[in-house]
Amino acid sequence: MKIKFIDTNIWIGKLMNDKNKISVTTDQLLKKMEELNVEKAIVYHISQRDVHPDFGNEVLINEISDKPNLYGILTVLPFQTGEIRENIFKNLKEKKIVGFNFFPKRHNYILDKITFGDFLSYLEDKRFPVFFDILSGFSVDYKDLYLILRDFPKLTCILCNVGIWNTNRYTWPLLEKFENVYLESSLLSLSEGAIEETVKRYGADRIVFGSGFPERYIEASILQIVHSDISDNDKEKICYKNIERIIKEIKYE
Amino acid sequence: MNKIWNKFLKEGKLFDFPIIDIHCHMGFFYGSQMPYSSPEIMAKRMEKAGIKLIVFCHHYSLFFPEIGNKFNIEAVKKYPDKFKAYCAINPNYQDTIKKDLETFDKYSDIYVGFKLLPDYHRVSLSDYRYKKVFEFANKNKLIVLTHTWGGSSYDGAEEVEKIIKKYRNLILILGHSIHGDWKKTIEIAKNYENVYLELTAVLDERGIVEEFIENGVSNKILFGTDFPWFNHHYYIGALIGTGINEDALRKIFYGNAMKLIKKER
Repeated sequence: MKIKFIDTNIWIGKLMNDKNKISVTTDQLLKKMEELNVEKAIVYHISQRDVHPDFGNEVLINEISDKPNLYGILTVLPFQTGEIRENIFKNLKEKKIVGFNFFPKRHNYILDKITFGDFLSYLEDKRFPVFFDILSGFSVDYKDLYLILRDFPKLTCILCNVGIWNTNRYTWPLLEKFENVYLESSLLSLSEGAIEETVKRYGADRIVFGSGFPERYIEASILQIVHSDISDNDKEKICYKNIERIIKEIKYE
Repeated sequence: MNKIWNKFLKEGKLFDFPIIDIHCHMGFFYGSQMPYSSPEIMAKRMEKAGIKLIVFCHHYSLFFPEIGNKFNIEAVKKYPDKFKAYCAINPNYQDTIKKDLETFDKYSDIYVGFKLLPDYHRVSLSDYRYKKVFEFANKNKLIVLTHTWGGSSYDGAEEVEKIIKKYRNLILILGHSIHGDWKKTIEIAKNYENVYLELTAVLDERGIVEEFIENGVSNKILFGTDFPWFNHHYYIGALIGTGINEDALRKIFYGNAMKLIKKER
């Protein structure tokens, strides 16, 4: 069975300290995607995290503008400081922006109702997915996430890089209580049985394919999903149908 | 993309790739759910990815001192062609070690050597409480798989070197390849003939195995996954994803381990 893949968890650009030589340019990513039959990818630029979100957002938009198979995620900061220009939110559909991310531990603020109440309500209402990077330590941990979801229970969340050890004890209560929470697949694939058991309990509708490239190998995520003990229909949902549905549900202005 | 990738992608396993996973466990674990950790399920899952043999140590043997190696022995007896075990060593229980060493020969078809977890048992590799085990392994040219982690005072590079300088006949497998201390790991693999690097937690980061290979230590690398912690297809995909050539892949997936197990037995 040949499956189409949309990778929801990739960053592009050069790390400032690239000791393992993992950084990739947009062209290198596109070449890799072609080799592995990954049709589309949702990406952010590493400068959004490591330089400044406002600067990085612009770099990202420029990078993906003429690449039809790349879609983008914007990074925001507390609007109170005025560091994020408002014009970045115009024409999001045309700019191929399909979600947002936050790095509160990297950018030093609190991601909650006080700081972001109006914006998180807006995202909830417009069904824009928020991509949370759990493992990096730069975004949120599970305790933060539980609190955010108590205040914004309808928020569409995609939990990326869910953790190295099996994280079912953290993620399954969220899947149970919050219907718009999704798990990105890469580290579920790493944990023996996590894909199969999550599908068995909560259905394949709650998982979207991702790799964590360039920090991890796309081949690893692909090989595990392709040979997992779930139905072909469930594989298709995970590999591209779920994320296509999530994007289609975004209510652009 | 290389032909090995295409074959694995299509078939899920290759009959001429009899993979040996040198670092496995079994049973439940306090820190996370392990849904596929019974001997029966593990044996079945191995077939799916073409894993010919796993060498494991049961979690209960490592973490529950009263039970000893009972579960290791039972599992190998049930699946002698698929499983071999490491005799669990908890240095905090010297009487148990004494008994295990005295009866080790009785289980020569069960064990390939010993499994040490210095970070968890809070005893440094060079501590006197491991001495009898190292002497026994050295005398009998056995495999010792030890957990290692960069910067650890129990099983970091400094502790590893103290042991390998002293015991030249045993085969020391560095579980997790002294994770994070990669330059030192390469130096140790190059300098000491009887040391091997194991890949659990190494392959979930790009760039590390590539560096090992660039530094010419492909003969010293062993495939390992901590199964049933981690998934075989994920790790197989990752190793192929490094882009290393077929010759190196074959050595790492099974060739290097096969030589050690044959030598030891």
